[in-house]
Amino acid sequence: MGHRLQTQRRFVMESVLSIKDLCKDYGKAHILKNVSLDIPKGSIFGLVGRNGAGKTTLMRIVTGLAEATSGTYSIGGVSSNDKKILTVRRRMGSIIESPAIYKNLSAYDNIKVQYLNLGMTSFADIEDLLELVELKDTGKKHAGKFSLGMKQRLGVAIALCGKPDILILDEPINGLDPQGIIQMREILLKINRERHTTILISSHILEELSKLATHYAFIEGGEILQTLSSQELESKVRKSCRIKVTSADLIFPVFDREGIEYRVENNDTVDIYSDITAKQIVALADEAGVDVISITENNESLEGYFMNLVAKKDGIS
Amino acid sequence: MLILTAVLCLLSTGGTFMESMAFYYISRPRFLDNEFVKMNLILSLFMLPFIISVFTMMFTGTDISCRAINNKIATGLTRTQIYIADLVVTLIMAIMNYAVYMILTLAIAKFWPMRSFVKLDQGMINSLILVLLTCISYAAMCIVIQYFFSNKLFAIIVVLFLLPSLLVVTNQIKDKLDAPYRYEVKDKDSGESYWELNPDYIGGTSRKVLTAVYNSCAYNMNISDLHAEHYVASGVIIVLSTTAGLISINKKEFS
Repeated sequence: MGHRLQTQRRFVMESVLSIKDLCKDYGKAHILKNVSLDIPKGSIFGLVGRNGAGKTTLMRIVTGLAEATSGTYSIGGVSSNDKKILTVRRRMGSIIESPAIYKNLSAYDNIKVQYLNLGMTSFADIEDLLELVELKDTGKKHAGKFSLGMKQRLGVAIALCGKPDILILDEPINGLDPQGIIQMREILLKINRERHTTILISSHILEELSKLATHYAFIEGGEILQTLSSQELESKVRKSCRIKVTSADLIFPVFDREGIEYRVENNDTVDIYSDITAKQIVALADEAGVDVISITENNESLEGYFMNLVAKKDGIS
Repeated sequence: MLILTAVLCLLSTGGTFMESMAFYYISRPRFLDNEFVKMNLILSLFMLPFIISVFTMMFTGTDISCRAINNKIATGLTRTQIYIADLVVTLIMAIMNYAVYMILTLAIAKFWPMRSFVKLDQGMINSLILVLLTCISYAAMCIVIQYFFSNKLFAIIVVLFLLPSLLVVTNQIKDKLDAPYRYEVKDKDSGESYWELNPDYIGGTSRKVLTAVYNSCAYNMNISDLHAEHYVASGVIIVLSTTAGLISINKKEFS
């Protein structure tokens, strides 16, 4: 797994965003079911889930774009039932689904509008923001003519207006090319590192999320399956070794007899999860009359971990 | 928008002017009078709502279609505050456009280099007030329609259909009010005539209500008559549409 290890980084366990038993129904459809989360201050919190799992709905509720059916959330200790939540919401920036930008305004003017919405009269910081998101050279070019990556970065800049404590980003790297993904990653890491901004981010591109997130929450069918830090995930992921043999079918009876846990990848590739040495694998293959072509260490990806979690929830072994 | 209003005013005034000249040239020496202004005011009942709906589409409609309203909600503004702010801005723009149109019309009528008999009499003042009330009411309706239909193009189509709809409804009411109480029927056999009550005649409270509704509508073209119903209708439209708009925006879920 290619995620960053945060062994040297300590997180203040104070929660900047706490969600408690949040439910959202649309008619008879239960989109969110008693979702509870605590987002530690200073973390990059990855929300992992399939399409329709409830990630966007959760983010819309927390940002005030939708109302919860029941349950509460609190931002900086202020409950959603408190009128002060409106003031505290200014400490939050967000991009939900796609950046909300005026297509006929330049990047500078888009940010300026948000400054005016926040009641800020000094626009001195706008140039710094544009430099942070690498849009300083766009000049008077209308945002409608930006590439997708540029629009996403502009959305991040707008979300950063007013120096929020927490950024909520709903799939900010969707549709970006590899260079755009790298750029966005660098910007988010910089924001988290230099401004100590907490980031709640959802993404389908789990491999990329694993390079960013310090904490994870897995959501499926509107329910939180698991929340854990990246260190905890590192210790939990299933280590395996992948063997390539001349004929996988012949080796299965031997593995079954020895009680070895394995998963068939294809006709000649098998992933072995049991604690077994290479020497033992070769011996068993010899017994089965099969040649071992290669043995490689193969740690479970974030994707694999998530799919296993979902499979367990669905009761599939 | 003000430039657009000025251009439309000049175009409509020019049209009215040409028509006035054609009429007056045939029958009497050329001059401009209150009839000229009145015709322009009637045209303004169609021009100004069109301008207001275009402005609403460009202002509020863009906010909704670009989803920039999400950014406003994210700053902690309540939905009520956002709606009222949009309404106030649109009302101010409606009044400013109205002012530009009226000032241009009156200035042309008064200062055009030919004989002018334009007088600011009670009829003219009534007409000016009536158009202002129509503009304000229309602005309030445009905002609620824009929030109700998130697609700004669809919203402007609905708003533009309001105009002919109001004309049709007003004419329908007029027809009902004009229906006689009784009509004469001639017996074919005896040749005698007698009076029969008209089943389509509307009387009593219904007639009073219909009359009030008819009087309150600017599109009955009795532009010099200003009734109390006009003020009431305008107030009712603004209150009802604002209430509907506030309910709509507070219940709406934005994505």
